[in-house]
Amino acid sequence: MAPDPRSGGSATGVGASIVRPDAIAKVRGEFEFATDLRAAGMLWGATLRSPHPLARILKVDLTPARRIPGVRAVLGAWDVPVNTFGAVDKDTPVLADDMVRYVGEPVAIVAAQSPALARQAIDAIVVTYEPMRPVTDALEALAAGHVYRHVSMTHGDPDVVGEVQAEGEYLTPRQDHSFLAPDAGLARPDGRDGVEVIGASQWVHADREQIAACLALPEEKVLVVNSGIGGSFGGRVSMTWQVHGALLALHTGRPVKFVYSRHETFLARYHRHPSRIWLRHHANRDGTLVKLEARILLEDGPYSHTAAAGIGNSCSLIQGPYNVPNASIEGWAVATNNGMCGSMRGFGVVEPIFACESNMDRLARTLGIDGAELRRRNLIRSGDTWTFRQVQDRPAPVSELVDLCQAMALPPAPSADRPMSARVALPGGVATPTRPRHVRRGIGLAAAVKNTCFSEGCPVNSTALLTLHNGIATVDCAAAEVGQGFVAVAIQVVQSTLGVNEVRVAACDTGMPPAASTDAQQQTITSGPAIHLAAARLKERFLQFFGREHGLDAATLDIRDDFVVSRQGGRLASVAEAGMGLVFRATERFDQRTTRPVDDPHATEPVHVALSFSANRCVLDVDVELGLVRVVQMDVVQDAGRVANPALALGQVTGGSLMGLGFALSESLEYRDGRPVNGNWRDYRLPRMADAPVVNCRFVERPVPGIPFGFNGIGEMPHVQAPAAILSALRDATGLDLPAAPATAGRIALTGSDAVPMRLSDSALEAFKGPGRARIGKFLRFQRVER
Amino acid sequence: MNRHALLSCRLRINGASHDVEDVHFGDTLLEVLRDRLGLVGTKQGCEDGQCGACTVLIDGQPVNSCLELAAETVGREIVTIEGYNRRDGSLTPLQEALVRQAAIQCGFCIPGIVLAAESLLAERPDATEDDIRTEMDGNLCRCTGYSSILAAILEVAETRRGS
Ligand code: FES
Ligand code: FES
Repeated sequence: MAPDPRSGGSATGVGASIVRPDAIAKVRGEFEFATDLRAAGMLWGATLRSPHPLARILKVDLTPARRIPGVRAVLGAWDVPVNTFGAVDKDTPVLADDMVRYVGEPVAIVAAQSPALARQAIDAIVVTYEPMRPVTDALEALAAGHVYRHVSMTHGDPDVVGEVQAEGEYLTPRQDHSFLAPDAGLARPDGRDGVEVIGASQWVHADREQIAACLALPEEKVLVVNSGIGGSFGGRVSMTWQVHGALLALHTGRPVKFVYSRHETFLARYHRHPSRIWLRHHANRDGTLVKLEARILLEDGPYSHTAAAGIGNSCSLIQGPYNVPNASIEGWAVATNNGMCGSMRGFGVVEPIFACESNMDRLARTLGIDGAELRRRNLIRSGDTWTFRQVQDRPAPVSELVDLCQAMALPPAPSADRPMSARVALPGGVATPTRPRHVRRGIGLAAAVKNTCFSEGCPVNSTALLTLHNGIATVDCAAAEVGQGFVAVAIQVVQSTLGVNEVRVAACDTGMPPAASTDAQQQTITSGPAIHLAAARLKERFLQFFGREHGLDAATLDIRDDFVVSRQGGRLASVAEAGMGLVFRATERFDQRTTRPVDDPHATEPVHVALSFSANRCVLDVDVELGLVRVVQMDVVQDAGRVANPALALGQVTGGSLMGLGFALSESLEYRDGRPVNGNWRDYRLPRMADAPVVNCRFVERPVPGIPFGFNGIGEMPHVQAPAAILSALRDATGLDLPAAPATAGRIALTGSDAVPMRLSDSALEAFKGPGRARIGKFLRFQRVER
Repeated sequence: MNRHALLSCRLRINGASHDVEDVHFGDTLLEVLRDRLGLVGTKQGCEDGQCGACTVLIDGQPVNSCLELAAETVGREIVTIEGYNRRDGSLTPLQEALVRQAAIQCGFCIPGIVLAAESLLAERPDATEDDIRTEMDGNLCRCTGYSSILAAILEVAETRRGS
């Protein structure tokens, strides 16, 4: 299906592109984001942060700040009842205690009458540090045994050798989510010894659990509410200001608001983990893959955060969407002091797909086969077994995706005499110094796979409550709307299942039963079914009531377009009248199938709930002298299960592709000696409108079995595939290896010297078999016992 | 002028006069609009002139209000998204086009984009796709990949040309 980009029209239900319910308020600037919250008597919070990547705290003197008139509270680590929290493992201090372990780590917090006073108070706090030598290199961390999780797995016969081998080592950047709305929110005492925390979260229930634990309060004393969320992309799963705000609100008895600056948003939050990946593909001369050897090193921060899940994803999907009969795969998530790392769109999968596809390009060159042809020969099919012992028991239409992708129309060739007014369309964009005769065109193709839902034993489920009153249905489901459009999908599911078109979606808070996190492209596939089940149950109850009232057999009745109808389709009564003013309710929970750790040799469950696939062809122009790139077109064909709202799904593809373009060409948060050097949007280069290519998209709909409507995940895939396709096209145009993303102008123009030394190959790895495996942080739930 | 001096300013915003007391000379227009006057439709994205989320019109020109000192806007005509909106709640053709093209995801960039695009269209009614790409370069959107925003602005430009 080629999705129509427009929304609106009279169609309703799953498959229609209804206008999202918040669109009008958003386009008028009236939608309330977390940054916009206000309350009477509100104080402003601010945070003192560590200037050192690693240091002992010798002394913290808060008194100068406390003396400033208008400053209402100044708190340090000793004021936090239970001073650790964490999205997975509780090893992150709320406020640094004896040590700081990254630049930006919070040390003290204040609440004052104005933002300026709060900043002044922060400046007045005196902290004495004893700086220490930080660990800033992931290889050094590995050698020293600072390992959060070590995954080791083999598949088939790991000793088989292929006729042809291709080997390479690849690097990927520390990407920042750079959602547009900075971290912000408001905490206020609820007047009953509890606290309300109103902000922007991917998962309110996980926040509540952590906030309550840190405050030593029972969970029912903490209400976490989502206000409007200005983007997330995996970046709001771990808390920043929330516990600070709650503490200050309880201390002052007043509402306290935090709004981070952009620089602070860079410092305080985690980023995508940088990776170093070595792999060697073995193949027969005809291009059939025989074996994959891989070593994956993910750099995580000084606290474990989501490190374990990231390396699990990486190790399982390093094989790409290919059938690999034999494999030996090893991975490490290690700790450094270069700031926090964690989940971001395509978590732990963007990196291995980039490496796998890059090495597939290399294998194609070695074999002298066309890259698309090499891929086509090895694509995974339904019934094949993954390296992690999971049978692909669901559709895997990858060859169809590749064929459709290649069949899409190519853009016209670049012309050497483009008028000056169209410079924006040339490599380098607005005001580019490029010369048309240096511009070469490249075309590359990549295929990709991504897991949908949390994997490896994480329970994934959602509960939805549906209410019907006077013909209007209301959905209570604590699924976070971060911009992706779940609020529209929720409405459409109710329209399809219940037959009522007037549907409202209640704002999300922890007063509702828990739903899945907005993560791992799992919301539509998990909360969608929960809402469907609740709607189906509600309809059954409603029709039974109507049948009883009117002496009819409920089994002969249905609801369509807001009317109770007979089997023949005749309208009997409007739902609004038929309900006789009563309130009908139903609540249902939907559970995804259970999964197991990737390296568990005994368990028989799958590792991933579901997998989704895509193919992407990239066409770009590159100025080979200056290294400037203009991505002209991306042709994306994605396996989408069933598309709930085509216009919104397309928005995920265009947005995710551009975020992948940033990863491929410009985005990298650099650290030098443990200090971030470009934590602002001047120096951290995000794609702009001039950089946006034409994105052509087709969805292939193969309903996922066992999922109502057959939904699959959509939102992460475009980001996963784009970097691999862009780099492939760049290699095509330049003949360079380009083993590292982002392929900046400097890297492209520096012909010949871009090789990444093999630090993770068999021989090099010996140097890093460190003595013990002392961990920074605690064992994670997935961590296996030492071999 | 003394950096710490407190001023009182009379600002012309959305056709009305606002007296704001105790303004620091260093306070930006963005801070005054959002924190003092509660006009929170103007967004803070970077306070660094990089994202355009804080775009307002000053004497008809789009300006990053995070870079503008409030005290220096005295006597000039400021329009924020609140003033741009139609009073009756209906949408302008540009707003309608943005909704129709599904250009709204998180929506945080949108008020700034509406004002920047409207002034672009006013200045260059014949704007081509390349012109729009060039002129809208100051407005970041992290969600949409821009194609829907571009399509919406182009649609309005073409409709206006046609009529
Ligand atoms: S907040 Fe003004 S440009 Fe970003
Ligand atoms: S819609 Fe989210 S930043 Fe533009």
